[in-house]
Formats: sequence, C-alpha cells, structure tokens
Amino acid sequence: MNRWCLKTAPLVLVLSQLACTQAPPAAPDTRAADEKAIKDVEAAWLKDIQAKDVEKSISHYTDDASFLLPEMPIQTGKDAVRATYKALMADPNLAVDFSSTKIEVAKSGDFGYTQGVYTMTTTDAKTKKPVTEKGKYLTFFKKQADGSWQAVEDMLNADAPATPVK
Amino acid sequence: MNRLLVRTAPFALLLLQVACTQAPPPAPDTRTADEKAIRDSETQWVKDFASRDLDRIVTHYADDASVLMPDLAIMTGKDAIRAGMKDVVADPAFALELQTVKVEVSKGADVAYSQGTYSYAGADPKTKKVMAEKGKYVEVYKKQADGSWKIVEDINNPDAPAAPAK
Repeated sequence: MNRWCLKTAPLVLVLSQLACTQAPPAAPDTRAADEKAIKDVEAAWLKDIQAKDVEKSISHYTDDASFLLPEMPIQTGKDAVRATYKALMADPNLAVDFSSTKIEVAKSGDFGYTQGVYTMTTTDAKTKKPVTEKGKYLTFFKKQADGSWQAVEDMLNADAPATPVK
Repeated sequence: MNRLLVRTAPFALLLLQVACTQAPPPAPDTRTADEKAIRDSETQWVKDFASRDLDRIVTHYADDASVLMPDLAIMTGKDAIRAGMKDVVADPAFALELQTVKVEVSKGADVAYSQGTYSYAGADPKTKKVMAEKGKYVEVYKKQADGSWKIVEDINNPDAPAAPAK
C-alpha cells in the first residue's frame, strides 16, 4: 500500500493541479463584442429618431429608464419617455445627429455606457424660429435577458445656448 | 501496474472532482457594500463642496474623468476639472446640495452609476446676481485598484432656468 501511494501520488497531484487550473472555465471576456453591439444600437437609434418613429426610438430604453433633459424634470418609465419623444417629434424643425466618442463595458458584461456629442435643431418656443445647439450626452446601458442592450439613463446638455439657424 | 491503477483511479477521480468544484471560489457579490460605499462617497462630496476645498472635491474624480456641464464644453482630466471648478467654489454665494436617488453596481463590481438631484446657488457671472436652480445628475463610477470608487463621467442639467435666489 505504501509503495502504491508513493508511485501514484505524483500523478494524482499533477492531475488535480491540471483540474484546478483548467476548470471551471473563466467567463469569456465579451467586452469587445458588447462595445460593438452598443455602437450598433446607437446607430439604429439615430436612424429611428431621424425617421421620427416614436415607438422604435423608445424601444431602446428599458421599462424603468430615465430620460434627463435640460429644463424639465426627470422623465422615468416608458410612458413618460414616450410623451417626451412625442412632443419633440411633433416639432417640424426637429433635426438630430449624434455620435459616441467613448464606449465602455463592465467586466461582467452587464453594464455599459457611452459619451458622445450631438447637434439638435428645434423650434424656439418664443421666437417660433428654428434654433440649433451643439452639446454632449451620456447614456448608460444595461444588457437585457435576451442579450440586447437598452438605455437606463439618458442625459444631455448643450455646450452653449442655442442660436438661430443661418 | 494495472492493479495499482484500478485501485487508485477512484481516489484520483475523487480528488479531481474536489479540486474542480472547490477552486477557484466564485467572486463574492459585493454589490450591497459597493452601493453603500458610493452613497457614502456622495455624502462626503457634499461636505467637501461645503468646505470649498478644491483638492478634496476633485479627489472624487478619476484622473481621466469627464465633466459635462450645461453651457460649457466637456472638461476632461483632473487639471481641466480643477480649473473649471475653481471660480465656482470661490464664489461667496456658492452652495450645492446633492440627493442620491439611485445607485447600481455591475455584477463584476467594476462599473457603477448613480442618479440624483441637486440644488445649486451661485452668482450669475454676468449680472452678479445670486441665482438658484434645481436639477438632476448622473455619475458613472469605476472601482480603483485600491478599492475606492471614483467618478469617470459627471453630467447634470437644470429642471428649469435658474431664478433669482430668495
């Protein structure tokens, strides 16, 4: 018995070390794919906004998302977000463009965020003339059960007061 | 030799299984403690603003943090943030209160965000009149190598235009 143990002990140790280092497999790092997925979501979202499609535009938000726009209180929940988009898209002068300058995803692949810049033209409430502003935004995303990314926080502000369109 | 293997194989398999199921241990879920750490950090930040201590105020930011303030271009990096805040906190009328509403931490506990509301008072740079405004903010945090949470993105905007302070 002693001889058996001596002979097989090294083999057992090697095997158990292999097992320790090889299993269980570490969760794969999906950050590069997640960053691309978020970039694609923002590209689709921009098209939905430019098409003035309210339902498609708000499909990029979670049910409990907050839309945080300047000079109005926090809008939380799909109904509030929908109402805000409806009001914005009723403006015949509305024109929006945006692009991300930074995308980062958590190690665990459940959270991500973008920072970016936008240009927006709207009708000035007082003068009734179109005005344009440039600004920046921050959007925080959560990966959903189906693997898609949706915004939970969406916030922006202008770099300077809007100016009349030339 | 065959007999040796037959006798020791079950023992080796058992060791392998123990090794597989016990190592590496799953990372503990620290999200509750992390949420509290972020809330505590925001409470401390309010105290640091009240003391107008610029060094302590900017310790809450990561070195590459971005601050996205209304009517200003993006400020990125501690030097730019410090320069942008210097005059604000030097204003005798400066007052800032923050109320953390929501904090969420990624499963991997490396990225988090908070949403909250603020009330601010300060002299208007042009008219020198003391103005007050209420608004909301979103902060994105990253856990640092030393375990502390630092802000990487800081954005806010008012609920309504600033009004003369009463």
